Amino acid sequence: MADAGSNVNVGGAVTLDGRFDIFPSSPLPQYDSPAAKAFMAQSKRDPDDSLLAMILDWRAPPQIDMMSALRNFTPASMVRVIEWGVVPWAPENRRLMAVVMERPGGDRVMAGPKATFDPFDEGMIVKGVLMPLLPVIRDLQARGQTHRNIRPTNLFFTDSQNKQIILGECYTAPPGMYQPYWAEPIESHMTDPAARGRGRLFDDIYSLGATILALAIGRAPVPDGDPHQLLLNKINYGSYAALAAQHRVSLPIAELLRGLLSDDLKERWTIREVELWMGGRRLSPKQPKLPKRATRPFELAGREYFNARALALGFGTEWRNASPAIRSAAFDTWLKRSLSEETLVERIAKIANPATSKDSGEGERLVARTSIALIPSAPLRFKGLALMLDGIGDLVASSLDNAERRGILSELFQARLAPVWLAGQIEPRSDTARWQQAFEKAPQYIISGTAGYGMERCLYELNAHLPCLSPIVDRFYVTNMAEMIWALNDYARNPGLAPKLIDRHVAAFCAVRCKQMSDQWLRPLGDSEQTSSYKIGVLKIIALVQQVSKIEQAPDLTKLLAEMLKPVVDGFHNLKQRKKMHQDLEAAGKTGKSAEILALFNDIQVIDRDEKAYQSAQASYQKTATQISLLHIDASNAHHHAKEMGEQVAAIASGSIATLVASIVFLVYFI
Amino acid sequence: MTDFPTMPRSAQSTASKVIGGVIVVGVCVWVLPTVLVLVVGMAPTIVAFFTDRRREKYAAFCVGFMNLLGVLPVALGMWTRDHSMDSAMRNVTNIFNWFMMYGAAAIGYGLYSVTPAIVAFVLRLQIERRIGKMQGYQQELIDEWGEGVTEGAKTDHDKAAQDAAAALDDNDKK
Repeated sequence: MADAGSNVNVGGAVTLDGRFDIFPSSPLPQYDSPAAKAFMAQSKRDPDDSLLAMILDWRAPPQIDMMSALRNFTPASMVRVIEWGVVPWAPENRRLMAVVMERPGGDRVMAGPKATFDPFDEGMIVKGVLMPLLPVIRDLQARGQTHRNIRPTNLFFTDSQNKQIILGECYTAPPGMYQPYWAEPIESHMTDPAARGRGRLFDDIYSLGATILALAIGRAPVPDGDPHQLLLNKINYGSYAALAAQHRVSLPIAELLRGLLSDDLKERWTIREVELWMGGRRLSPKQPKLPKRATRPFELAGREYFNARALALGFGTEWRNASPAIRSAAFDTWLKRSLSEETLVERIAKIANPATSKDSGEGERLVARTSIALIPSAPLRFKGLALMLDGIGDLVASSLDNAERRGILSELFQARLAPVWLAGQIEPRSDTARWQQAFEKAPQYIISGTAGYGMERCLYELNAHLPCLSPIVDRFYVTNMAEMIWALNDYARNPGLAPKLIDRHVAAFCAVRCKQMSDQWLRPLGDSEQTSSYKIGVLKIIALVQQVSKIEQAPDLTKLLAEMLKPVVDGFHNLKQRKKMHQDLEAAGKTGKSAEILALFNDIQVIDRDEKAYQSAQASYQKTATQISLLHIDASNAHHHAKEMGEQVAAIASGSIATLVASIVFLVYFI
Repeated sequence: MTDFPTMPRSAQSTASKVIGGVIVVGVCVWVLPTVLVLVVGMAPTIVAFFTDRRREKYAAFCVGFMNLLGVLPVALGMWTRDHSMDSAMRNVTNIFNWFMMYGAAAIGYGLYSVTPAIVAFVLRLQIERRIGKMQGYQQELIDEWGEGVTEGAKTDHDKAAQDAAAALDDNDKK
């Protein structure tokens, strides 16, 4: 087994898949993405290809599915992904995920979030932006994918002439995570950036519209705006008014933007409508369809809300005060009389049913359910968190180090709100069954809480390609069982004073990625670490993982396992058996096969039998000791017993002798 | 019809005693020489009977059987040759007879004195053999299971000793 850093020197090239050299000493900061650093890369087969490698943050879930979908068919005007894989990365002394991709010919269109640039005219927008980007969005749609990273900072010029652009990558970070608020539609804007999910074509269309607006004005439309105020403006006045009204753009571009930035999905332009617009068809400007405004405001925590969407946002932010307001008669009256939305009242009664939710523990759930009923397309909101279901995996990954968010996520899983959200959707979704299944077992995992379950189990269940984040193996970027054995073997070389081979992350990771591992393997991990059952449980898991990994030799790991199991052997009471077990254990520890060690402990009844026999021996010893004590007492009192018995014996002996002699005397006299 | 007069019960009992006494006195007079020899010859037994405080009178039995064995040849000699008071007087004044009768009693007493010590020795020997065997078994257990197998034995040992001592005290009191 090779060490992570054994085949690389600082400054030297590392090789990916034997085909690409990556140069850690040649960074390309102009191509860095928010979650990855760019470095020079070179193909061994075609050294003239202009490539770069993105080195990903090891904690972020890699977008393997997206890369797989794009590997052999990257749309022409999008940065082409060529290869990816884990490489030893000496500068950080760990293995990291590297993505080799095409290197854009020119600079970034917008250097940074607050950068300014020369505004694009209408012709440039059509020929340089829409003509190359629309096929990209269409091709992605055909593969059931979305880009979710369409923003001016992710556009590159194809050459130094700065006339044609190319869309940047969408696989170094969770979808939409680094999108500016102004480039996201209302629902996605309401969502935690880490939990925006893959979204739908409409989201890419909206981002394209916001990007075109930025290109048309040469900067971000609202670079310093308060995201919450911007969201309220989008809700109350429409996205076009909130983003574009304050900027001067040509009428045709304004028409395009009204179509692309429409908040009503039915009115938001499709690719076909954009193409018609490019073809010269001009429509009369559409007025944005604003949400229905109530005649009187609904007051919540000192704020006034005039429409259902804004109120749903208010419930999300003021969730602590929302529950009593929802249960109040004023809310019902406001819906019926001020908002005149009878269908909304019925939907709330059906989904949230505030009349029957009385206990305090259901307060947050009631708020979440009511928010779903008010705006079904909005993210699921719970105790300040807002997430799209397909972004839950990324959210869990980004919240692991935040105890408060972890706690809220635990409650969210246990509240079983995902099925409610899915049931509340008005637009049909193709992924309903998938997410219902994904959320079905999560509450059980959270409730169980022992190693192999808990939030870590949810993390790996929801992120199919996330490496194991355990501090024991994290520097090896473990993605499968073979790498796990390799990493554990390395850890075993210098395990420290209190070695621990399986922590919560390793257990959960193996439970998810090793299909053969059922709950019975994980059960012993709930015992105290000092118990034999725990140690044998650890051995069983590692033996299974090694068997699955097909790695024959892990000598350091088995040596550590043998050392770890010595106290278990010491627990054997039978000295002969213990001595033999120690000899066998030492021999098995040198084989490098954990199965050999497991063979010594596989028969759990051996331990039971030993324990029972020992108890029996103890009882025998005690019984014998009692008998000996009594005999000692008898011995010390022997004279006491002997006197009585001796007198009896003397009397009997005397009588017997006398009778015998008398008989002889009689015989002598009378015969 | 006239009823025959009947004697009272106390009168009947007195009559029986008188008749019995007459018979006994008659017999004694008839075997007086033997009685004389027995009374003189069995003197150690009589002494042992009265000095032995045990209800079972093992000492009296022990001395008595042997004493009787010593008296028997003298009595037999009288019964087969001359069962008279003269003969009885001669026999009880014969030093050899004394030696035989009292010597036999002494042997009986010696038997009574020595046997408990012999029995005690045999008992102790038996106990020690059993203890040795049990300790061997305990050592086998230690060899097989280690010192841990002795845990708890000390406590039990103490308890057993206390129980045994208490039982012993009770026996002594009885």
